[in-house]
Amino acid sequence: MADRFSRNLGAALRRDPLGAVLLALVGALVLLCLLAPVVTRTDPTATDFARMLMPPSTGNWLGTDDFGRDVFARLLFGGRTSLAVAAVAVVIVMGIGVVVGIAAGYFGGVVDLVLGKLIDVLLAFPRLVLAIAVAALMGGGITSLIVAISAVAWPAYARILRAFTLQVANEGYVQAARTLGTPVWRILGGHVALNLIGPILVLAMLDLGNLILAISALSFLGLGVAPPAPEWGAMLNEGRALMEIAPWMVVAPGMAIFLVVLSANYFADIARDSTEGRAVHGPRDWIAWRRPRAAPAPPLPAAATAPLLAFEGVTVDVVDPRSPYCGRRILHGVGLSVGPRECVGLIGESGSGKSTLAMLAMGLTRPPLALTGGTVRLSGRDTAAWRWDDWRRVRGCHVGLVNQDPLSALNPVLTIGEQIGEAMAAHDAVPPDARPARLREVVDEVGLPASVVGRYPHELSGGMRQRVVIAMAIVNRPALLIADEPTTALDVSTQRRILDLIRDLGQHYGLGVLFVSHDLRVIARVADRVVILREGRVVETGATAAVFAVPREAYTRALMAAIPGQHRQPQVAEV
Amino acid sequence: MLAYALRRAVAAVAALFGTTVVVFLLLRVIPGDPATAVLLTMLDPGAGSAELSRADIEALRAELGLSGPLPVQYLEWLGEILRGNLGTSLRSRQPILGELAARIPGTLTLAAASLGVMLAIALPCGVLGALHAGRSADHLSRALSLLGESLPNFFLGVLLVYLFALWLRWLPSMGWQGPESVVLPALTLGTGIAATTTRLLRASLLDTLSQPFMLMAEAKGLSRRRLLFRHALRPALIPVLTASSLVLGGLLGGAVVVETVFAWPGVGRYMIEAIAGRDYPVIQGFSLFMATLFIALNFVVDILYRLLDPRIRVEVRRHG
Repeated sequence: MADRFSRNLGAALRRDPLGAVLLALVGALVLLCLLAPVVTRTDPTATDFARMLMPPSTGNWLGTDDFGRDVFARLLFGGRTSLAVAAVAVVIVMGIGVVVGIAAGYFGGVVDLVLGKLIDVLLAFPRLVLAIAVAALMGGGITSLIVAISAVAWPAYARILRAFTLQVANEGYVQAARTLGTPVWRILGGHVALNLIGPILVLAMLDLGNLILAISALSFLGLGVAPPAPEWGAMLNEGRALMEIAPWMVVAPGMAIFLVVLSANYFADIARDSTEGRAVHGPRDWIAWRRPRAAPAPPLPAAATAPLLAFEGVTVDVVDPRSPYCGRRILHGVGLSVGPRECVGLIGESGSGKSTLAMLAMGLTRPPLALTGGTVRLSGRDTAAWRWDDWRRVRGCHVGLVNQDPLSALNPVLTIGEQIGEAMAAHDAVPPDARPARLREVVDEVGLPASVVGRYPHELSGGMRQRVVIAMAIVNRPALLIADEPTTALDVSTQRRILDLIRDLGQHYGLGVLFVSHDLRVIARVADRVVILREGRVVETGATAAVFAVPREAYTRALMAAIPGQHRQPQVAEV
Repeated sequence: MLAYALRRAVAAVAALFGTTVVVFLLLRVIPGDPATAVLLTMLDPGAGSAELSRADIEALRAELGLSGPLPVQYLEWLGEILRGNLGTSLRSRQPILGELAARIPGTLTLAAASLGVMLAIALPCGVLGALHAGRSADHLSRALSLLGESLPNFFLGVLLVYLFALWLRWLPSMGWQGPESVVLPALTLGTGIAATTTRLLRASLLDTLSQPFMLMAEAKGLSRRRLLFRHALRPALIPVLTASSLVLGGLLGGAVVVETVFAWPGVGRYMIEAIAGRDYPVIQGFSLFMATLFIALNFVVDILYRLLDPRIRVEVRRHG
């Protein structure tokens, strides 16, 4: 986490001029505050009633307040207080948080129970409210400010560090040290604490902004340093009644707090952001401002002489310039077709581009990938001009998809019946009044009990969930089924049953199937024809029996030789 | 559902008892004698504790419930609270419960209006940010939430008063002068928590959109509306609700600050006024009230959470 943080930060600063500017500004401000006695010779508490409420000038860069005190001097000296309190509070909070968190996580049992309850109770208060109450009971002043902030901030850290400790304590090397009889303090100090330094630093960074906000809020409420000593929150409070005549009294400390908190939050935001760079599903134009124009191509003709799916010289490249692989070619002029009632097996090792090809058949190619050459035809229609809305009418209706991992393929918060039913509701293939009957029928066809309709995905096993996915794919009686490694995530006996189900349903519905797998035995069991893909190129193609019996290419022969139990070679199709 | 609600309710009551212990102990672990501190505020500034009579101190200690062994003190104090007696304000000599009750509607109005502002900002901004991730709408929504999280609400409040009340004269600046008075305080408090919620919602929705089940939903040919509202938004709201105590804590803590900025007739301002006079019973009563409100809000969130996430439903069925 610490590595990622520093790496992200370094890269971000290079790419991110705004961050660099922010860092420079806040660095300058902090430096000015630290060097306040050198920078300005003005006493921040010296009153001069002859110079009250003067606007900013060369003598008083930020004007004067209602006691004639120099706002710039007060800002710098006040910043020393604010930042010092924040620094002390961070050290105390981290100290208590680390000790309590590690103790609770490492020792467990009664220690964990007692500390855990203490943490729970303190977290049952809104943080700032408890801080205000503590500071109020202690009567204000800088000590009570530090105590109040520390008292309310440590429980959240202790809780997170407890979880980290639990994780680290179960690592092999810590277990080994325990077994070797290493003293507890050395395990905690050496192994556990060293591993926690990274997370601790990141946590401190993430929360620094909130800490500074809380400190200035308490000062604003009069619970910080006693007047006339300056502090940013307190200065803002002194100035707000005079906002109309002397806005600089409010704007100067307000902007100072804002700048410091903003930069803390800005870098915390970068450190925290790990969601970027993943493929996001759905249309790119989520908000369709104009109604999509009438779709030109679909629905597809039911009976056509053309193959259901035809790739001609298909080329796919990484086109996103932000991707480290930009410019890399994933598919090199691939040709492949699937006819009616035909099962084509697409074989390839991982990274060969076979899943990319499968997604292409659904119009689900996503950035950073894009189709850069060749044509994809569905039932003879060129799909090049199809937009998301055109594809939408084809997906789930004429082309069904069965994916690799059934555990993550179903929405966790919707029932099975809802998820199968909506596939029918999205298309006109099944008339509305026939849908309940069709739902019962399809559930039965994939071999699931009728009661499964009202259940949620987490109540089903992996094999059952894959049957649900198959039901969703065939409920509208499509002509083409794309099966992308549909059995890879299942155990061996379930694999075979799912495989047989897909083959039987294929025959029953007269489906054309594009069956993608890295497993030759699986392909041998279902496919009429095979296409062997390697590094984005078709290596060999032909009838399954012929290719398996007499492989022509060296690569294919190597693949065949790698099948476990090869000495009984000719029986491959029997596996 | 009932079993789950019951279990959460028991946990909430346990947390409430925990908070009474904390509030009780706080007054007793602070350095110095509270009674002496209170009496000193009533004397001239600069007077020393030597000028206080022992009898006065003892009398006040008794009134604050500070005499006798700790467990007995706690049980007596707790007994009074359970009977609805939060004590008497040292300044006004009125029962605290009545004084609080008169100000609770003010705080609840402010909190509800701020939650409304939060939802009105955070839902569209968070959703738009995630749907347009990496594009200009997203950059704008992230920049705004960064600003919202970093701008201290007391600074924002003062700026809004200056702009809308003093300069444009559209809205009243202080106190309660009709329903329009709530606009500025609610904007001040609502925008801050909206920023946090926007960030949480954006990250969570983005995470949901990259899940394989979204690919499968799209492969079924579902419409945009169904994909977003039926498939993406509901699972995405679950982590946001998990983190909601952060937001609710910010709401209640911020309410104290915002009530002070706008002289708003609520419990927060009542409490801040009590500080100068060292009105310890009021500070205790306020802390208990805020903790109770916080625990109650979190309880409501727990119930909502369960309605959204079927995975918890089963766990409950199995265990209870």
